[in-house]
Amino acid sequence: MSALISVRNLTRVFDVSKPWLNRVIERLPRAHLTAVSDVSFEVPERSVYALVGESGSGKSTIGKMVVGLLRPTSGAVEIGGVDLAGSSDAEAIARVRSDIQMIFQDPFASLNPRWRVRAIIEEPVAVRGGATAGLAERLLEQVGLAAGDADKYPHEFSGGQRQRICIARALASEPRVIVCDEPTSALDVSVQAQVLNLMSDLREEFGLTYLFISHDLTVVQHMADVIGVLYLGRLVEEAPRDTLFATPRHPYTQMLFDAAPRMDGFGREIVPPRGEIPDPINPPSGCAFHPRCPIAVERCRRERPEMRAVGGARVACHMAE
Amino acid sequence: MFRDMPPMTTPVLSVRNLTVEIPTRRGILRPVDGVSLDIAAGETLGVVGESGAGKSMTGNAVIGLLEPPARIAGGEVHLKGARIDTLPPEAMRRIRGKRIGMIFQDPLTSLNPLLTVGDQLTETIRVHLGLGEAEAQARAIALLDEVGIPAARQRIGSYPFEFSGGMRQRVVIALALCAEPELVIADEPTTALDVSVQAQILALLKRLCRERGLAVMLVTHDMGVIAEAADRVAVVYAGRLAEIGPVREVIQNAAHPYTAGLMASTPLASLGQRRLRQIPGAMPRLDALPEGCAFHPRCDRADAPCRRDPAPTVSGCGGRAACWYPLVQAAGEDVA
Repeated sequence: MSALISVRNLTRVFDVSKPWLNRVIERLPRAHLTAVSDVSFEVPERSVYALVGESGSGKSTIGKMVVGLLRPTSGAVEIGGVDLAGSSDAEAIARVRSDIQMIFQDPFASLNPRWRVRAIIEEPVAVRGGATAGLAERLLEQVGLAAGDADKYPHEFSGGQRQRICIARALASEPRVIVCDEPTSALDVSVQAQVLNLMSDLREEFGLTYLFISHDLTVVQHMADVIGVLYLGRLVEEAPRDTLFATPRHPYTQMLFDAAPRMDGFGREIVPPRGEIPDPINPPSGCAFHPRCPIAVERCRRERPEMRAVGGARVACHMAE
Repeated sequence: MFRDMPPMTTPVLSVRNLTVEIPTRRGILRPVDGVSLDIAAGETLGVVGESGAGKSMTGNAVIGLLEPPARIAGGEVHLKGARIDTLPPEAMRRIRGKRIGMIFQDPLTSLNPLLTVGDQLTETIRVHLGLGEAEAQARAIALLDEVGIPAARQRIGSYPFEFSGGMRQRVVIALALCAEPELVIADEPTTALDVSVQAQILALLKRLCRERGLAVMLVTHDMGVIAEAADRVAVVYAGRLAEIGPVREVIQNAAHPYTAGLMASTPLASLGQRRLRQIPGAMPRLDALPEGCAFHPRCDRADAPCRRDPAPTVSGCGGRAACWYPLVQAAGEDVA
């Protein structure tokens, strides 16, 4: 299997400085937020790579950079060998662009309320001058809706049905990669199961590759082949699903697993995690997790751990073994 | 709808056949229909269901915070044996905040952004407990300390925006507790929070419930949260109680097909399987409820009675369910 998506040393810095006049009067320096810092991973064709993390971990920012909605500050995203941000070959970029689609979290915000479903689904093909006859009807049936729904407006559908429309739109240009940013977080459990099953079916039918972004460990455990755990913009651990869930090696991954509510956790008394996610504008020195880490030593405060291979996984921790 | 079961002691909250109606131009909607439940002191009752099932509406009806034109159309609500749903708004307002505390989903909207957290706490303490300024201040600091806000004495002069999401929710919990309530209604208290912070807030709620002997109504859509934090659970579907019982029995050995389907469709329950088990269809809209049992169009056990008549109440393992063909039922129970 070759890597379809290759992310190398991806970094994104946002300028979150106050306006110029405030900085002058209040003598404030410029402020920068490093949302994604030096993240590298590869996604083989026809596999599902999941990024998990809590808010502020940079998972959505990575997703946006992979589809090209944001430019990286440094580093590169290559899809099928083409660097979207750096390449000067316009034809290659155009070709790769139609290979990538995205599904967003909120199906109420990601469909234009003034467009009919047909126009929404056909747009990715129509803008590139492709043939759209019968396309919407065929795709609607493929995602479990009726062909007749093509003439309706988004408000006539429930949340789960809207997410199906989003999926149909994502499939329209026959992409190879779909970036799914929390695709079921806004849905109820029983509807979530329907949408996840649909995504699994479509993946097999069309040979799709998913970059799956979620905060929900149970969803990730169900969907992903390989999982990358993010903390404060950095990849702290990456492992195949079963390896990760059997032996989480990074203390943050272990903390996440312990903290996640369990269906069999009746009356479970856990020691709740220490502290909260630090301010990303002034991240802690060394390993960003050290203030909350139960096994941190002096070295963790000083020196940032690099990703290294440990027993089938990649872990960024001095203490992991 | 449900038969009364004799409680051992007077429950803190007792809801009997509660029905909420919303009159609309196209008829009367019933977002809550004949719900009965009890919560004892020191007990956490989880109320779980999908969006629009009526779980928040049940909580709002109990505390008298229904938005007109929604109104209580039937049933009774008792707090420590005294009926409260018929009280005039003024009397209800004194109970709300004093005897019933409330925690809502988004801590940013339930705190006043223009007042310091100290001001908000001392105001509530003085109104409900009639304490003086200095005493109220001391109590506010003690409360912030109890809910785990570090350096409470310094933070009391801070505004809500200066706190993180998790700390803000702790402030809301302190606010709910400041008048020593007997009952706390927590509506999705951890939904807006990250997993690690959620674990902290749940641990805090459990501790407070145990130490203070609080009755807690925990409204949520997350089965994992229910499993960890609730003693008993009520499953609502389309405004009706599908099943209520001890949390372990309901999750592992559900009597109602909807409950069983809900549990099975969580990714954790189908671990290692390529497909998740799914319930076909979606919950019906309130203006298009099917005849008989509201769940029958999605139910694989449905038969003629389900399509015709509302489901009878049957006893399951330690609880009760509203179903014609329950998956489990107590031995010797006669299904009418």
